[in-house]
Amino acid sequence: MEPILQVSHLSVSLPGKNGPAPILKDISFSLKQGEILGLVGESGSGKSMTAFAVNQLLPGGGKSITGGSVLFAGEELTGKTEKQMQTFRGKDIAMIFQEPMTCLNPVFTVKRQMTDVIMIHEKRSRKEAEIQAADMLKKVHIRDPERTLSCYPYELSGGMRQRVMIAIALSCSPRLLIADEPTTALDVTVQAQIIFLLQEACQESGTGIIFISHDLGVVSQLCSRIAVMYAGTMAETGPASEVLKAPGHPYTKALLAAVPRFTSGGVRDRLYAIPGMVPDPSEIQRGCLFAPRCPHAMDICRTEHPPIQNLGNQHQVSCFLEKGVSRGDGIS
Amino acid sequence: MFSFQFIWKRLVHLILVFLGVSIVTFSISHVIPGDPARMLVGPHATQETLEATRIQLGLDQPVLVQYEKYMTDLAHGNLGTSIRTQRPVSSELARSFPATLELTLAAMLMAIVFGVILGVAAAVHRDRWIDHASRIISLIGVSTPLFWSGIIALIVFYKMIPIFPASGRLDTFLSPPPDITGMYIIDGLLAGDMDVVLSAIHHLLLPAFCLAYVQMAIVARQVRSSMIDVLEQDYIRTAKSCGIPRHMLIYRYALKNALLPTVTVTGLTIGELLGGAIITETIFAWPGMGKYVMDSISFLDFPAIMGFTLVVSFSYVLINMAVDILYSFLNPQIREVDES
Amino acid sequence: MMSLIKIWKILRHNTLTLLGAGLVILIVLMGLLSPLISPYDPNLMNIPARLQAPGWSHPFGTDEMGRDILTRVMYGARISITVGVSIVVIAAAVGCFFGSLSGYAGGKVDRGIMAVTDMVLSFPSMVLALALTAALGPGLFNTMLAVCIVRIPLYVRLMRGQVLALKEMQYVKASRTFGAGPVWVVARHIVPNCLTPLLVQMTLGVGDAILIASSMSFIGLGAQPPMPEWGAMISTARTYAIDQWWYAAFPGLFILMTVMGFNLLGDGIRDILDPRSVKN
Repeated sequence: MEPILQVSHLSVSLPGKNGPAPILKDISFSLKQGEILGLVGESGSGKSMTAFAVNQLLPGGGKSITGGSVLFAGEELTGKTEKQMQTFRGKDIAMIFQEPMTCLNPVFTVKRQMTDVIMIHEKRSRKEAEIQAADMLKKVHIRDPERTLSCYPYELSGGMRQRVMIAIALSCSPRLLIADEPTTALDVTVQAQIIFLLQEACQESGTGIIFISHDLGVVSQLCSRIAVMYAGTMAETGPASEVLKAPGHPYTKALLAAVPRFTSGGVRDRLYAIPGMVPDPSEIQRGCLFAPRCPHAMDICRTEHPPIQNLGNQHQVSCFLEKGVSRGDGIS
Repeated sequence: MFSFQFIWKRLVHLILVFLGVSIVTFSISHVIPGDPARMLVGPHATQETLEATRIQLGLDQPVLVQYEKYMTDLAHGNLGTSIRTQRPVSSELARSFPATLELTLAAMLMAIVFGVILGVAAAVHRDRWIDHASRIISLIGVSTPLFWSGIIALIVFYKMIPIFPASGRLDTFLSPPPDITGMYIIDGLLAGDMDVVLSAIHHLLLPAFCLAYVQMAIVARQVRSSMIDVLEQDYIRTAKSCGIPRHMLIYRYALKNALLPTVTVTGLTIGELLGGAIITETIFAWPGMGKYVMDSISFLDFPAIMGFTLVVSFSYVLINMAVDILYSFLNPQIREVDES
Repeated sequence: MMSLIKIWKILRHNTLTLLGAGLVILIVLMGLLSPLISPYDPNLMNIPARLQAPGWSHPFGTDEMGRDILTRVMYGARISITVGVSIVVIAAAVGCFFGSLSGYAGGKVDRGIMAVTDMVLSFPSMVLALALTAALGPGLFNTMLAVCIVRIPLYVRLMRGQVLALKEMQYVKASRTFGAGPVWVVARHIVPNCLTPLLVQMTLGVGDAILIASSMSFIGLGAQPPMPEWGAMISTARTYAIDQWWYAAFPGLFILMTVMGFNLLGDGIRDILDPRSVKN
């Protein structure tokens, strides 16, 4: 099956202190219809920037993209004008964000914000749009859609707002949904409900989802594939089960080690923290960017850019280590 | 939409403010002057008139009694007798009120419309030429004395490029429209007399713009900074990610939020406009309350000055309350907090 | 405390602030030195040379009495700067006293002071100043007094807000637990912290005070002719302004320059002393 989204060799630079700083370097990944891709990494690894680059919503506009391509359903999105992108955004490519408290316009009712999107993209009348908006709210399991529609955002709880956001995002049946840490700001119980909603959308209408998170636990529940980012580079991509069980990149391995695990004896003896810091993108780097923090770093890691190795089953890793870290000796 | 409680609260507040204003004006006319009666009748009044006024004001009685008398007079709309014209101040002010209303309303409209346009343009094109231009326009606006810019406007647009008249509200060969609101443009429209309407607009434009300029500058700065703030908010990014077209994003999604802090500035704006009207009306010979008070000043016509102060301040308070209610209309959150 | 070199470095990158400071210094020097540098006597009448257009002997022209406008404008700087600065200093002193009292004491004192403040603020400032001057009697001194009264609430509010915010700070509370009295707390902790906003407000206030005081003179309640006050000059000029443009133009231009100088300087001081506000 042809992928709904094909990002290849994407590079992005944003203006920094000392001129343009590379934020994303040679990012490639793809997403099939009905697939959920988990995009993970520490804060500052470029997850959100990748999402914005797909939707052409980068702070500097299209100029920020310095190379590579973003193919959506076979159509090239880089280089499209703001006007052309408007027909994609909200209709084919929808987004939801981390902060449900600030993502809805405080001076408009939920109804106004939902119907505007529906009317613009589906060319419906106001009446039809209102009916559709109420339907969408029902789909995200809001019990009293009519009442919610007439609410202002400040009258709703965080979980409710995120549901409304999802309803807006799904209202034009997008083929791609980018969810940028949608559950981070929510209570754990609400988190589970939101994840369930996303799963439902994916199964029912075949929407492809990019799920951005730093929480490997959530990602492992939800995603069929995982892409691990580090400092604006793609460290590893592959099927979720493989990446989680047999990580190929030392960074993935370290991330997994940093997840707190609960066993019958309580918290695992000690939480593992990755030493060092994510490098500053405005400073020029050579070699593998993870090398300064990597326990397996070799001389070559500090001078050359690591090649992409195929571990089979569409599992790729960008590392010099033969066959990935878990096949050699890992952190144990 | 508004609960009984909401209106009740506003009314109580309004009455309190009116009381405060009357206490201040009472102090100015009865407590500050060495001889209030002499101030009110003028230097040329006879001894009998002076004595009669002393008794009428109750100057021999305690201050509270004097205040009570003062308030009784106010409640009856009695603002005293003008020293200059020997006619009731209230009727003179009533006659000139519509002209001032027309001028300040026009100025307010200009200040808000141009100020918002300029502010939005500056925010959307931040750090580009239009932003710098708007900054310079604003800086000049807040630093220019109103009486000077009015005179310069006359020199430029009356003497050098004669496109605007120098004085009055209508061309002299036209007779004023039938008096309904007292505002010539509206009355002219009601009477269907387009000659009057056009002439009235022609006479109004220059004084209204001079009066509006400073406030326009202030509104533009306010709109610019709140617009920049709003455009960086998450909900604007959300709307963008939903494919909301740019013009709708700026003029509806962002502007409504950016106007909220601007509305509160508008209240202050009106006070400045009412004060500025004294100067603008004088320079453009606009027959409103401002010119009336200016004419009174040269005669030290104290009752006229105090009457003007009262009417303007009461209007100011009323307009501010209207702005307050408008604000709660625009901001749903305030309405909720206020009602609970 | 910032070193002078650092201030100079910031100023150098802030052309507008420098321009403001330059304007203010220029006007102040002009006022101070006016008896030395002015070409004529400000009140010297010369009827045959009345209403002359700007030329070599009278760069800014002459007025209806043949007085040299350049000279009068120079002397006017003395009056306007004195008026503006004294209004602001007195209003700020009185306002700060009542503001800190209000914020510190709280309760009935606070409510009383704030009620009076609100009363004054419910008037358009120009109108209240006008009524007060009329009651006190026309004249420059009474105008200054009236403008002062109208501007006091600004400083009351500013100071009260600062005191209320600072009172809750841990280090102020700590100092009170050691038995520091109110005067000590205000002088040691609160005043130093209020200096930046106060200085900004006062600098901007001088420009504003000059504007409103010259407006009062224009109306006829402030400085009286033949005093070479800028507003009063323009008031007399009104009769001649349409045909003798220079008469009103030059005094007004100097009001504009003075007020703009203080505005730019005030904004600049804010940017330099309060880095948070630089963003916008």
